Amino acid sequence: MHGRDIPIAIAKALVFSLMIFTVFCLAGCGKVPEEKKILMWLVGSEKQAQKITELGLDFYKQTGVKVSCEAISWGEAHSKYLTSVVGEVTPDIGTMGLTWGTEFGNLGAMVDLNREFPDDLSELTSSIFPGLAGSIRYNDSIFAVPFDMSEYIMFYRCDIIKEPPRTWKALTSLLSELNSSGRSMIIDWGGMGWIGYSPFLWQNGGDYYDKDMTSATLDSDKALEAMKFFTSLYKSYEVPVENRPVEQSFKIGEYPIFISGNWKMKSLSDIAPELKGKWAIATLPAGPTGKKTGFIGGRVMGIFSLSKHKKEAWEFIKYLSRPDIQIKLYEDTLESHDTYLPPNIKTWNLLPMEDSFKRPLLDQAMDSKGPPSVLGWDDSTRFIDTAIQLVVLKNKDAGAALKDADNELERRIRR
Amino acid sequence: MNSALKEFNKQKSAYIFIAPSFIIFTVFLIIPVFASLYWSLTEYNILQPPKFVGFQNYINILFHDPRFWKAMANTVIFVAGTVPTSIAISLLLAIAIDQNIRFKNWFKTFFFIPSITSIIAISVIWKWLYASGKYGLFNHLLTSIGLPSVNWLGVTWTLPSIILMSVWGGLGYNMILFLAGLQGIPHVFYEAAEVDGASEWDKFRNVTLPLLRPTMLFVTIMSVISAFQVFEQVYIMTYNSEGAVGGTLDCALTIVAYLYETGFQRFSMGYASALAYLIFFILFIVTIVNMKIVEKKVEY
Repeated sequence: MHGRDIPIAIAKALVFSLMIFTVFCLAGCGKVPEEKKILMWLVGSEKQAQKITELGLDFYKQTGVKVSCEAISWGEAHSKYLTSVVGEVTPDIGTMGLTWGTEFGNLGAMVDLNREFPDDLSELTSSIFPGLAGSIRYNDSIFAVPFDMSEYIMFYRCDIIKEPPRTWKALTSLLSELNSSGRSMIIDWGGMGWIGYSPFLWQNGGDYYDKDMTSATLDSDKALEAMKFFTSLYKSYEVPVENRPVEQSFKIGEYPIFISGNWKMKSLSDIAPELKGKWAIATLPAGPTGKKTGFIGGRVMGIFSLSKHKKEAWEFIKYLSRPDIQIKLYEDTLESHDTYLPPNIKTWNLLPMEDSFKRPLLDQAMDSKGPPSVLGWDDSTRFIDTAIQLVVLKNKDAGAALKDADNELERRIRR
Repeated sequence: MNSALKEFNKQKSAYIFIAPSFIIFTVFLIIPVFASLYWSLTEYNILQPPKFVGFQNYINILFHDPRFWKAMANTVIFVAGTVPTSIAISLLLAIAIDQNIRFKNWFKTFFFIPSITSIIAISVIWKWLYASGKYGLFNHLLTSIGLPSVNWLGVTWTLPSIILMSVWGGLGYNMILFLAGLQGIPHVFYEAAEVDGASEWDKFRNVTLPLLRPTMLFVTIMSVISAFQVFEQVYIMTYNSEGAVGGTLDCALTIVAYLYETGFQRFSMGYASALAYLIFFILFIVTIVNMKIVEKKVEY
């Protein structure tokens, strides 16, 4: 054999073995009766995905349907879903950001649960927190149901602040008092952006769009008042405009009060265990309307249109929505670094959580709203962020800034 | 025809060995490059087939997109802030280490370490160092000597902060290149200069610098190209809870960060492709100008 022929011989051998392999595979598939298998993608941690796969074993015993759950990271999640839709390689169930269900649903990539399983769905959504229920409905369609939730809540040091502020007025007088000793408050989750502004907007009776979601309403007086109040916290009450390490500054007492997501409960007890008993949580201060509306987010799960096992997938979604299963998920996250709050009101009655935490969380969740269910919302948010930042940092007139943002929102609804 | 086939047969194994990398190169580089040239003339969101719009994307970018110009300005500031500083300092370091000093290799390793560290890891650590108020190490040092703390990652300082970090991170690599260049200069020139009574400064100006020009050309061109494409640092330092990149009021939005946002967050692939081609043209022109300036003076 000449030296030159060796690569060809290798190539031939490769092709031949590949052929044999393929034949075996085909034969193999033919013999075994096809087992029903659901693939679920979870935007989140590997650990939580493992837990769901574990729960899937129990589901398998009951139904004979196998479930495997794979974790995908938040950073790549949106593009991964989008490319899987284009490449027609979607999983059966996808767990994703709150607004994505509507987005992918409108592309025809997801099953309209309201049409496919109307009875089951109305039973399931009846016990979902109203704020979440509002965010998943798009016209008459619901493409995904909540998997978990995250909510705005206020944290304060009870050894420094005796009574958490219950109203806007109480908030500003508390801040004046703190300011006199060089202290203030942090708005952590979505501060200087639309998420931070939203609760104040809603507490003042305003909103981003009108009731039919056909027109932007950021040019209203209520939005303006809310904007003025929200930005005054930064401009007059020393709420920091840049990120501060929340746990550390809370620990040393420079910022003995902050507004953030419920997950900070976990990180506070991890990072500052010595503070145990010295801090508490409370609902947000109520606005002029008397409402203490907070922001609520979370992950939703839905079924992709290309799934061959839609019914089985729906059964698994119902399974994951069961109170006893949600409690298992909750208990599991206490050991890992995940946070999981059940989106189902019924589950909360059974939840093994300290009452001093459970009460405010439940109370706040009942009066919370999610992002508006409008196509083009995700493209619009940065204009609201810009408006807020211009008012705080560049002293732009709040009315003019809101008017600009309103125009951009308006332009994007119609797309 | 027959002879061509004969020729192919003769070189068969060579072609087979070339094939894998040629195929990979074609599939993942050549085809995408031409595909994105076409897409830059279309409106394309991945989901629907591309729609031909001619030069509309380019016109929109150049004439109706203030964020492009903001990103462009930030990028130019970044290039101007990092490249000359980094070259000056790394040349100085190279000359210092090139002297017969003790612990020479130790110093070389010391300065080169940032270059083998992932820029992502560097950025994450520096983000802590830059923490605002009294929390970061830098502010701790500033306040402990009585200076006011700086809002390193605020609107005014984010870009300078990223420049500072990038200069630090890029020193070692340029230093090693300069060291190699310095070692390639024959000693006879220095001896001749000494005979003529040249001072240290004269030797540096009239011997070292001119003979280092080829290295200088290479370092400058490579630094400008990589500085122009800065992304990782900006991403880590400025992304917020919603995944937006570029910082408050786009204070550190650079051109590649903007490309990333357009292409991979908003999925305007046509617009993003046009941006990519503009970046290519700008770099092409900058490189040619660079070569013309430095090349003219290369003399032996």
